[in-house]
Amino acid sequence: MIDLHAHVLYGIDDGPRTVHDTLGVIRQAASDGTRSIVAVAHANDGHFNVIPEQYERAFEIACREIASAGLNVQLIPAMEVRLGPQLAEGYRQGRFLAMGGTGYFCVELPPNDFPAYTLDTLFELSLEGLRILLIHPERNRGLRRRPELMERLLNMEILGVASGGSLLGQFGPEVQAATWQLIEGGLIQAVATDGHSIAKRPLRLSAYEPVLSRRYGDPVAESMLQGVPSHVLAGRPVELIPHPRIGWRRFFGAR
Amino acid sequence: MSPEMSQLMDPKLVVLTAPRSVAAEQYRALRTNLEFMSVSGALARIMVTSGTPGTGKSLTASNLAIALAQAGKNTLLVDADLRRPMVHHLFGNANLSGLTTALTRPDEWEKYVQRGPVGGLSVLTSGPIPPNPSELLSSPIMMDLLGQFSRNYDIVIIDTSPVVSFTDAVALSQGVDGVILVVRAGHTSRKGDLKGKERLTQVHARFLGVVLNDIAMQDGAYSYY
Repeated sequence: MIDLHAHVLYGIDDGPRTVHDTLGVIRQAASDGTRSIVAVAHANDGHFNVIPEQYERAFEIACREIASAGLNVQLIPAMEVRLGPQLAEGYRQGRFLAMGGTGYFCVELPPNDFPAYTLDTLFELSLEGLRILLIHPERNRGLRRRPELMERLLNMEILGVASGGSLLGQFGPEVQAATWQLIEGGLIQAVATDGHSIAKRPLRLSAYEPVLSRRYGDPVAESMLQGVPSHVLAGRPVELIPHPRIGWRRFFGAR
Repeated sequence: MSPEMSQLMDPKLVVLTAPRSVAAEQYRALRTNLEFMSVSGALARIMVTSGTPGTGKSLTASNLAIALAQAGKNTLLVDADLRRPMVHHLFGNANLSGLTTALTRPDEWEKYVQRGPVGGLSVLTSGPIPPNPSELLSSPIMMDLLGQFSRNYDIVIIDTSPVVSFTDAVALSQGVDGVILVVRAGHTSRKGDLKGKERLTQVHARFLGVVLNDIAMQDGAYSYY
């Protein structure tokens, strides 16, 4: 499996604190069958401001540690960039890093509102030749209150990736319901762990497989945990197809 | 046409993929008709639209552009359907930049034009989709850009969104020499098609005619050759 979004670099944001924490979460991911992890760090979320030099250093150190521990997990560099009005300019000036060589750019919306400049900013970023990967859109309150915004994001061909915890209700029933809505609408096409530590937000992608396949069927679960993430890593566009919930008929008929 | 190109290209681009088919011949007939019409006034920029969605207008625009390029015209195909861009899917092109990029950086628009699968055909895909397509398409920059296209190309084919649902095509019709309306047999309603035509004639667009798409062929009628 491919984890499109996890905090595994130590000492730069709210992810692992020490090298042991990092190796711990990587081991957890590896034993769960994850082979590639997009190793994000908060670039500008107000609590953590990571600059590219800092990020690259932490990334290199982590890769070296993983290699010397003999773990077979590949890290892909990326920053998790909090939405602000000047993102495209910041990108041009080299303040933010896109996801490895994929051309994807991870944007996180602020938790509480959907600012008026959101769509314009995302468009400006895409004019830089980037594809937008919207990180846990289900956790944005603005999007939950105004479902018509999903339609506008879909029209702009913006891809969303949900946090696994949202599927299990870790952020409350409202976020959980929004996750289903956004999957069924087509905005969310992939699920990542958004892992931070072994215990609190673990890097176990397989934990989300049963709930996805129960609700949407095995092929959709496979596509959200493996198919779409591998498309993203290959830098290819992802089609935003709606995933309807499987009805009761199949539920009973299949067992 | 390079082998990898033909793999990515949609087989429905019949003028290239099945040049001897009846359908390809019809696209060439459309080209001939346009050449005759341009006698009574230059047709350097032609817009292709429809009343309602799903008529195959992108396909018509693309096949027509290929046919024109094959006839030796230096042709530019522009995907100005920012609601549901299709041209890059049909040609298998990347779409990380295109018309919208050109609109925001008009001085370097030529950088965003891609080479088409036949000599003489250039393609400007839609580019990233903006949150406000109609404002962008009805801006003075767009009108200016249309003029610049014509300085570099003999003929410009512009694929637009359907005219009844969106105002984009109506605005664009002011910057072109003629409009073709695509209707689809057994799919579009007469009411929708007429409404589309009405929208365009209201703003005094030069209405060139209608392309009837997807007609069920009768046996024998065309089988002589």
